[in-house]
Amino acid sequence: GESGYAENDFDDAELDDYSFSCYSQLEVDGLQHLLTCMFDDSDINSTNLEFEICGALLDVDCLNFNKLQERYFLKTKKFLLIGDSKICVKLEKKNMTCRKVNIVKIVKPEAPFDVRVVYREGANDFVVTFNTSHLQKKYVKVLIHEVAYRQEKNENNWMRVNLTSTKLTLLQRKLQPNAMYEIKVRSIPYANYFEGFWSEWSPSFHFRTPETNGTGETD
Amino acid sequence: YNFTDCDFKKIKESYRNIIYQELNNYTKGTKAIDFDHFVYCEDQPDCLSKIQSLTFEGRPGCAAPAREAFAVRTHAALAAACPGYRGPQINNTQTMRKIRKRQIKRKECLEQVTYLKELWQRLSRIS
Repeated sequence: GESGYAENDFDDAELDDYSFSCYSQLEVDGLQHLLTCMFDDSDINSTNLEFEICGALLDVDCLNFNKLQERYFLKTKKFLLIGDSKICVKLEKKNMTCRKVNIVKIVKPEAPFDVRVVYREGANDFVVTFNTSHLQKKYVKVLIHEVAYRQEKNENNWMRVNLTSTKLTLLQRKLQPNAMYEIKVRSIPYANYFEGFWSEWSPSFHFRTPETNGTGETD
Repeated sequence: YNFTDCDFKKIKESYRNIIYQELNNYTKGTKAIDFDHFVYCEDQPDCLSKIQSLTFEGRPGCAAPAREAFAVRTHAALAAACPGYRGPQINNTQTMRKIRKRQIKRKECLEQVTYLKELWQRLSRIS
C-alpha cells in the first residue's frame, strides 16, 4: 500500500525531529484517565507515525494511542500511577524515539470554571469564588489556583494571587473606583506526589467597581 | 528480601496517594472490627515484609490477591523504591476479569486485605 514514506524517504524520516511532549489528566471521565501527546515540531509529517506506551500499566504491557488531527491521545483506567512508563514514537513498528515518562509527574489539571465576583457593600470588598472538578477526584485533589485580575483598559497589568482554596476576597480600596475589571483562574498540582503543568485559564468574568473606592472618597 | 534499604518516604507517598484508594475500594463496606485478629509490625522493614507476605502469598480461603489492582500497585511501589526488589512475578497479561470470576471476594480475602490496611496504616505513621 501507499505508505507515507517511500524507501529513500525512510532515511529522511530518520532525520526528522520526533521530540514530543505529553500531559496527563487523571479521572477526566469517571475513572478514566487521559494521556495526550503531540510533536514539538508542528510541521512534522506525522503520517504513519504512532505512539505507544509501555510499563506501569495494569493487566497489559503496552497500549497504543489514538490520533486526532495532530494530537495523539489515550483514554484508559490502566495507569498504575506508580513508577515510570516508556512512550515511543513508532514508524511502521520501528521505534523512532522513546522517552521515560511518569504519568503522575505530567499532570495538567482541568481548567477551573464558574468564576463569580460578588460585591459586599457593608464589608467594602469583593468575594471571588470559582469551582474546580478536582474537588470530587480521588487522586489529584490538592491544587494551587492562580487568580489573575486586571483593569480592562490596562492590557498587560495583571495582578496575581495564589491560593489553595476556591474563595478569595479583594478589598475595594485596592481597586480603582468605577472601573471595569476582568478576572480569571488557572490551576496546577500542589501535592509532592502529583506534579505537572498549569491548566488552561478559566473563562473570564467581568465586573465593574462602584463609584466610591470604599473609603467614602471618590477619586 | 531485606527491606531495610528501601526509600520509605517514596513508598509512603505511593501508599497515601494511590494504594490507599485501591485498598479502600477492595474492602468497601468492611470494617476492621468485623475481624477479631490483630496485626502489628515493629518497624518499617518489618511492616513491608508483612505487607509483602499478606499481599502476594495465599492463605486458607484466599488464594492470593496478587493480581488485584492494589497488589499490582504494591508490587510497583516496592520495585520503584527498593533496590533490587523483584518480588513475585505477577503475570501482567492475565486478564483480571477471568481471575476475578474464580476469586470471588470471600470473607477470608476481605479479612486478609483488612489486615493489610492496618499494616499500611501502621507503616505510614512510623517516621
